[in-house]
Amino acid sequence: MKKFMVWVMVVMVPTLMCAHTLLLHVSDNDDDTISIKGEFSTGEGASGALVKLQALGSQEILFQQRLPDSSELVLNIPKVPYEVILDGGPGHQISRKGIAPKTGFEEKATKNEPASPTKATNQSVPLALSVCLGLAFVLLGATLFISIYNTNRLLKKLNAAKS
Amino acid sequence: MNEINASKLWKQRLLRLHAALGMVVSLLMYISVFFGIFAIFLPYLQVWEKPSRHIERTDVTQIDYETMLNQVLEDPNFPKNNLLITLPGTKGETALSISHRFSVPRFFNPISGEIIQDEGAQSQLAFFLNRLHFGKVLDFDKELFGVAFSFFGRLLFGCMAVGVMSIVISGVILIIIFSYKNKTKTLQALFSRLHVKIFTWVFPIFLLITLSGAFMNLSLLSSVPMAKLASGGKESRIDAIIGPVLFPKEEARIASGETAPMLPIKTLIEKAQTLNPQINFQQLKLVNWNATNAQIELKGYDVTKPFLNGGAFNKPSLTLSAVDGSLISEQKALDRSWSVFFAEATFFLHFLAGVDIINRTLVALVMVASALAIGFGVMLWLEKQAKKFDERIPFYHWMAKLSLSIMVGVIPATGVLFVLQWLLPFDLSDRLLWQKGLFYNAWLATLFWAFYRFNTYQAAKEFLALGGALFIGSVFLHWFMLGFFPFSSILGVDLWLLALGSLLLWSARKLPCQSEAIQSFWIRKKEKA
Repeated sequence: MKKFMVWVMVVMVPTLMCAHTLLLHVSDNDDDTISIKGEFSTGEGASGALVKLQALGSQEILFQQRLPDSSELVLNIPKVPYEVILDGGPGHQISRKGIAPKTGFEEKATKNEPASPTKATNQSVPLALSVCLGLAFVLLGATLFISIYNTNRLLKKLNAAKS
Repeated sequence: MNEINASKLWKQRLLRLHAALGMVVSLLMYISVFFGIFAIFLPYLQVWEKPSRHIERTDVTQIDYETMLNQVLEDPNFPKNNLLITLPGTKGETALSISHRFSVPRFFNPISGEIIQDEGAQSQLAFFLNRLHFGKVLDFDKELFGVAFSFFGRLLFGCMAVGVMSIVISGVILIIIFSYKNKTKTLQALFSRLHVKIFTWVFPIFLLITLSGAFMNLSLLSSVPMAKLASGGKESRIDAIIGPVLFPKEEARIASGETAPMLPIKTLIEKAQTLNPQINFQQLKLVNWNATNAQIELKGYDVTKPFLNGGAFNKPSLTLSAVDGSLISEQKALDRSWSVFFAEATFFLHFLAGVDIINRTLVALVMVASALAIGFGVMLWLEKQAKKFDERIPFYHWMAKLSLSIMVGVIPATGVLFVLQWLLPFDLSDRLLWQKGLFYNAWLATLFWAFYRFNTYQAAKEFLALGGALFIGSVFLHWFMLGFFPFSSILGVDLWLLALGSLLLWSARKLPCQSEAIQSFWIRKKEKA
């Protein structure tokens, strides 16, 4: 029965298969090292994917390396709070909060610097979107107006013809 | 007597159901079919739209691959193993790309070996047209509401495709149980006849393509419960269950640690071609390159087995030793399971993998006929509504105006999209956003114009003329900006757009505006036919 279900699903779900899900496993080795493994949800290894250890707060890249053929890396745990990022190319990035060493982190996460004016501009709604949305509302309003105006003209014409 | 009445009632209800459901989904279906016609020519459009791809086609056995490969291998940030070389000619692409599963691809001019600055997200005209075809209409900003709208659009188009299948089936039953007369004395009768006649010829292909489209859009929804059901609640991701069937797990091949000279890649392609001349090679995978156990896996499309290979799941391949060119393994097109063939065939119906320009044009013509048949169906409904209105005033119905804007107004709006492709500078910030935004506004402007004009035929005439001028203008702008390219695929798109523009201008010239002329235009045409 299960085999039949799998067969049916193969038939039913072609779209999803264009992109497998990338998975990141991080485990504590209890010796101040962590094991990082990348794989696809199909069980296939993710050798070649870029692993980054990024400090929380300062966003500094503490370490980066591509996964070897075994799709697994063993790394020393950083002394600052961090996150593990598996970069699988554009649109495929996953992260996990970093495991702390046995004695805990030596430093606390430094807060982000206040956003610079350039960053603030980048985060705002793009000009193209504002202009196009504004224009769309104007056109929609104009359409409603002309529809009502023309309907009234026709009703007047009809009433005049009847009388 | 009662039986006769019941039969009459059943026919009447079926007809009403067909008409009501048709009016609900017809406009969406028309949009999907209209942009689907452009999507059929996607491989050619994606080359036409990018200045960096205006490269002459090359023979894959004459390319100096090593020059390009070395440039990639010298980059310390680029992965070194399992590199993928996509050959020029694959899916219409003229450039050669070297990529890795986890890296942005590098594009090269296969003739000069120089790296190409890809336009990337700045130029995605063909992809945008394709997204409009399957309802991914508002994905311009992933952080805002784009993702939600994109999902909603695909869901809507998927449900629409299911609705269309019901309409087609009910339509076929209606054709069987009703005896349609050939007399076309009234516009209503003519539109009915055209709607029925066209769909009688094209419905099998139309139904199959719609069915595969419904699979693609709606399968996403069914995936989670299906995965849970099949795995006894262990998995919610469908790819974890069916992935191993569609994509068998590849064994990791470890490099030997000793280096050896590699045979030239073009020689390896020639060897593979000799071993299996039926495969059109599209992609090469370089495993443990420069090591003594280096391999090259050549994947492609077996032209003798359409529907069953060459798409996303089944790519016949040959694996050769890169040191001496000996055959290590071979996977033929028919070596996979039936479930893979079924999935492949479903995709083939929609993506036309490996299909040449002639067959693509034939499918496009079927789609044009389907779009016209949908249009005649809507016109039939509107003609029936017009009878209910007073003849002393023009027929001013919101559905007529909306249909005009969606079905005819989409032509000049798409023309704007093509003109903007060459009018907007390629280094403009948010270029694609401007292009999409102005396209939607142009389309909305046609809705305004449809309501502004009392005479729907006059507005349609203006839309057709404007659309024709814009499509022709886009070709001249292309030549003005980049010069004349006598290469087959690029010139082919130019000629295709010129023909489309000319046809639209001719239609605009022929379409009448006065009510008396409208009647005689349609009926006269029929009499001639």
